[in-house]
Amino acid sequence: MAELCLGLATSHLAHIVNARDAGDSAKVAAFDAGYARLAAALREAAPDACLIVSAEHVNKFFIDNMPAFCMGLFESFSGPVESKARDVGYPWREVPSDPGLARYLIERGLDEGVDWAVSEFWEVDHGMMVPLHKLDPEGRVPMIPVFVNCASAPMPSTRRCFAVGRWLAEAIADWPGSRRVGIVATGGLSHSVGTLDQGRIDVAFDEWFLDRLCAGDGEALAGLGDAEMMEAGSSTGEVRSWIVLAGAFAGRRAERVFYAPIEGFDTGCAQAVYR
Amino acid sequence: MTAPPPASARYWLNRALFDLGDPACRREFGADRAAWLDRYPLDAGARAALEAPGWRVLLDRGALPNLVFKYFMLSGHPPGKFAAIAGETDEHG
Repeated sequence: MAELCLGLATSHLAHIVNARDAGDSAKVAAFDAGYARLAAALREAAPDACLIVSAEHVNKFFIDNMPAFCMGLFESFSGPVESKARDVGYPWREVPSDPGLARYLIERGLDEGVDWAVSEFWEVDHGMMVPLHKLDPEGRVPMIPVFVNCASAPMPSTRRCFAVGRWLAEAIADWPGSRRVGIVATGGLSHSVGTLDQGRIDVAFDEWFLDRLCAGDGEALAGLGDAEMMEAGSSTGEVRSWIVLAGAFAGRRAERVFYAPIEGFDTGCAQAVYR
Repeated sequence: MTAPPPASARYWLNRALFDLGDPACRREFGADRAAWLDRYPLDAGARAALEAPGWRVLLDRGALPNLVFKYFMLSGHPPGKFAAIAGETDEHG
């Protein structure tokens, strides 16, 4: 029996590493402090492997073949892919993965109705690499990337994301051996990218979302509709990754680590942890 | 180039934007924007929106916001100015 030992959630925007001056300095410092707390939690939990669940920003996955969910199956992956086009302010690197656990989850899912798309080569974007840069820059913890389509409708419903999270917890618990597994969810909270309301942050939505998460009320999060998330911003649907995490820790309370609407970052920035 | 296969107008608009993620495409796009756009079966409105660029028209026609934003940055605009600049664009946007 493996143990689901830790759940981390964080916004993943790159401003925290390459446009820090755009935000209020006190809020940016608090966001950094939140990252430090998450990194400490990761070190203390010492998982043998983690899943890192994130949106992707149409760098790899495109509408000619858009999966709802995809899992990486390889010894390692690399990124951030954006650094091939411009200086992103943090280094390209290779991240170790865990193909044994990934294959187990993929094969079990394909047998039980969680039909993962599979990627055997993946240059991931800032959605994963910024949090990894802040949480585990030396790549000590093997990470299995998990994509959730948050970029192009039709997208997986929040109900489905929650169910996939619940399924992940059950499958991880059945993983043979005494291994410790964590989940890192990234994205959100409210923000818009590439739309006319870019810069608007929906504090009320963010507070409601964090309140429900920290109350252990994942069922409420699993009731969010596409329209409600879109109303809170065109990219707010990235909270799907948080809802996968809430499903994995269903019924358990998360600890709120940080929240602030950071205007220059155009995002409601948040962090939480399940221990 | 052989004729592209049939697909939705939304697909080809997004295909053109997505392909700009490729460095070779960006070079060709920078060298001769019209010739590069000739590769895609775009209707006149979509083509005009890409050429202008017309940010609002791109969005209205179903361009994915993430791709529109990347095109915006590729066009040399500061990332934090999207709403201001897109909100000011003309009938093409």
